Amino acid sequence: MKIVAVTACPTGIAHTYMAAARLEKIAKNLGHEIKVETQGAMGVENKLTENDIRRAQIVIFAVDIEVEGRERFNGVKVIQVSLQEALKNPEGIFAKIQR
Amino acid sequence: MKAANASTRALLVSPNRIIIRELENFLHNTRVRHVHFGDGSTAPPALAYVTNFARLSVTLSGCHTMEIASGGGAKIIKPIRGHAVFVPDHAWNKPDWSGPVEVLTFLFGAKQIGVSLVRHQGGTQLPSSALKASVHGGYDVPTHSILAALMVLAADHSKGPLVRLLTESLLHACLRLLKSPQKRWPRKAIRTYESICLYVQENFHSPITRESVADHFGLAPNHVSRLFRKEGLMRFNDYLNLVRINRAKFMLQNYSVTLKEIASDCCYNDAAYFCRAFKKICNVTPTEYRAQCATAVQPRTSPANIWQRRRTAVP
Repeated sequence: MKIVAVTACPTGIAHTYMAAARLEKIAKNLGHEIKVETQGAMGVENKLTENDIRRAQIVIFAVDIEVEGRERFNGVKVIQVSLQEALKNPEGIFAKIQR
Repeated sequence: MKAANASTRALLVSPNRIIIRELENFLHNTRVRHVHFGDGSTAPPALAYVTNFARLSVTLSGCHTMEIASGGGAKIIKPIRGHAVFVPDHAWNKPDWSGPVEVLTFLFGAKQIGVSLVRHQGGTQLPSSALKASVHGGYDVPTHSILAALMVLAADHSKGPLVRLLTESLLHACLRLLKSPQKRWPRKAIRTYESICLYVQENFHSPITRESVADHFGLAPNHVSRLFRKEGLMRFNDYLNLVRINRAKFMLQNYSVTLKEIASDCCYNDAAYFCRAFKKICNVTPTEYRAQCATAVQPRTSPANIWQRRRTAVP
């Protein structure tokens, strides 16, 4: 499955990057293709292109704040989870997607 | 203007300028008196902050209570104004955000530096405000060198004035970077080239080739070659080999696994070919390299080593 995700936490210090790493690792283990944009204190990194979003079958928002540039995802299936969930039980998110 | 509250003002002034002002004000009025090092010598608790880049927190007001690992045990520290906390890459800290605090955190990424100014009332999950600024294409030589020196001292648990003076210097170096005019967003070719490099670094253990990478990015294989020729320092295949051999060096230095296992971890099917490729890049065989590492006195995975390795892996 082709998946794109955005992670963002209020302080932008650590959880943004930890959640991104967690999602990437598990997606790869499950054989999905994933690209994760991080919106932390280092600015927007690994920015999702229009093409990335168009090709994705699902978008994961693992965020505790508003996503920057949310309008880019209009018309795409989005599931939103808290960062806590992405850090503690990322497997659960993918189980939800596959159902 | 007087009636405007902090959040309205934040909308009028860019986060960058507010962060610069706070940092200038801090450096003008305060000396760094103490630096805590979180060394990651115990396993991180749930939801602790662990990142693959180093971080430096400076308390501006209040008390930034947190848990860190130090010398093999976890402990609670209560940094106040004048105290800093340095957390090397892969080490951890866990702030509890229980009391009011204002804290500036610097994130030292591979290519950029991020700064986050968090104001927290305490007792709630969410901060009352968080401003972020970043310096793209971040490092100049002074910043990089001061940070590298601080990494070495952190690994050695060094005491004495050097640590706090270097921390102060690092803050001054960051202030200088924040105040220097931001570089233009890099050209598209450079961005594509950098994304490919990152992709290679993340996928070197899979059987990737110039063709599969080109396909992943929707480019023609020849275009990938052209990007490496024009923007990079070496050809695509040489870069892929370099990334794999760097990984092999890390494994040889830190783990006592067989050459065959290392070769296959780095996606070389043939151990003899792996040895030839290793020798071509390092001028010594893998076995000789491992022997050299064993004689040099080095901690098993010192943060300073991790730092150097990462810097060299990025072109």
